[in-house]
Amino acid sequence: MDIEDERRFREFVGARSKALLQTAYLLTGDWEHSRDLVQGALAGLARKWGRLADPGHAEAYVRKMIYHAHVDRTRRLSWRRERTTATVPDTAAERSDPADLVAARRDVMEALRQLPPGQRAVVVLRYFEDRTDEDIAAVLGISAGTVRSQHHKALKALRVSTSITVNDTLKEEAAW
Amino acid sequence: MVTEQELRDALADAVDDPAAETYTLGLSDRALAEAREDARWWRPMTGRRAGARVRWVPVVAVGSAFAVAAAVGMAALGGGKGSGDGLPVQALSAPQTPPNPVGQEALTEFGAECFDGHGPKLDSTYVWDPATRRYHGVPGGVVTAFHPSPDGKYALVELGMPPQSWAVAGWSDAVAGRLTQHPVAGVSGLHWTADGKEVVTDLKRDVAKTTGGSVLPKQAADFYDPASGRRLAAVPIPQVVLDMDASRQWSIQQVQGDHDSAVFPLLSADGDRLEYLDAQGATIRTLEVRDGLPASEGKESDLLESAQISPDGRYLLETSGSVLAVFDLQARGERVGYLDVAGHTFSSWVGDHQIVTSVEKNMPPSGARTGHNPVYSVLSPELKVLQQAEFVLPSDPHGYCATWPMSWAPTGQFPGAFVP
Repeated sequence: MDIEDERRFREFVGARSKALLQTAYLLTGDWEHSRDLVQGALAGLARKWGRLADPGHAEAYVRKMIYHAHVDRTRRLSWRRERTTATVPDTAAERSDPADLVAARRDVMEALRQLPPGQRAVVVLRYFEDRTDEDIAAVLGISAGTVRSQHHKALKALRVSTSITVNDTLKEEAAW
Repeated sequence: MVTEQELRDALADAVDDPAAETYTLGLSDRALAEAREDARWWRPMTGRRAGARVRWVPVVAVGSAFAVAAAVGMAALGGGKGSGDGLPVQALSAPQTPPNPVGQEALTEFGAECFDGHGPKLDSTYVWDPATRRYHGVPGGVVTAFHPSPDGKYALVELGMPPQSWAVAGWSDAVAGRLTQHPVAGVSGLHWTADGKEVVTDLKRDVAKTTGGSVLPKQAADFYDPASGRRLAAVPIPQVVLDMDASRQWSIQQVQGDHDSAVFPLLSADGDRLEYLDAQGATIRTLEVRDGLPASEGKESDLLESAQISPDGRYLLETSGSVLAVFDLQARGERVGYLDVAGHTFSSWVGDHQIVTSVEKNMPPSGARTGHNPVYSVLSPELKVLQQAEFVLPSDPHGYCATWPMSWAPTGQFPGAFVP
């Protein structure tokens, strides 16, 4: 990276880092982790800066890296070693419904964290960044149909009232 | 119910935190430094992947604060040196902690990743060596996973993620890298059969490259002889099992039995039934529980739920998303435990009646960041905390490095290893 590229990179980071951090925070729920996520994505951008066809695409590139890194990280979080047993046997706790947490605004982060990462990403992109389905699809690398499907499921899980309907015949597509 | 506008407002409120500004300070410098440092740390590998770069993506537990219900003991690892420079720390001593009469299993492998350029320089994985009674870093930049055999004498080692090869050796030989590797392709992992006589490929989903949908990459379970690496059999997954899994009303669990008696368990989407089908697709056993966990959805719209029976066969543990539930199979499947473990790395049964989870120690109410150290909790079948311990690297008191558990084994087989 030459001096001019570095100056423009720093200018970009100075202008957009807070917004990137806020988005990452909604995904992770923790400012330290958010900074790690954003830093990693910005490092990736720095490596690629000189090859960007259009520096105006820098933010889209970084956001995409943040979302994908978050999903990768969350996927590895669910890693576990499963034990098998050769013996299959011959034959409360107080229940709580996570969706009830959405009833209070102060609990929205908790409810958001319980969503699968793909749905969480769609909610953040839609309701925090105010992006269209097509924009969301471009950031996440999925189809607009999948965005709508994930959006619908997320709102259902969060018990958000909406006039949005999803065609029942819409094929269930992967979010990632 | 809340409205979309209320959701929008809530998200905006959530990020309206003056603390956010502090985290932007120096971000350019750190990002540039990481970009330069990353290029320097790339280590070339031999073999098929020469020239390809393998990078372990850091995994850090996220989530809400964990309510500490019992006294937390500090488990500090000895050894370690430096602060990010030089060679990775090769060996770490086990913690000097009082004997734990409660813990039944010891940590035999953990992963590690350091942040911000601080803390010691670590390998990606550390494995317990009974001969030296220390955790040894696995060199070479290859992602590995060590699975103890049921008797604890051997290690099934996966190399690469997803595995490109596997090997079985005595545990100390495996730690030392004395492995005869057997190439494998198209699998997401391998595990021991319950009797420890065979090795079998995992049944797990992957993302189809063409459609992006959730698929089972291999529609058969391959069984291998651990001594020779010879494939004993490829047992096709019965079509009825594939159909049930594809219906999204069931989710397939890990295959059980050996190559002559493979069994395919399926958990219903409502969490109330576990059905076992044999290799011909016939249902040979059904378990029913009450108040099962409904499945949550994964990133590929697959059903994120799993079922594990305790080693003694008495309890069924269901996980769905960030929730655990335990059912007593000797009490007509009554649910005896329920716990929200959002942010935890769930590990598994460790012993007949114990479950271990870990969570990264989060910021306490005082606001002082306490680093990335994990707090391990050992839970009863009722999901009450029996024991807790924080896993601390003494050379990293500020917790710049995150560690996470990868495998456990009975304490009697690995005396001296960390027991939470």
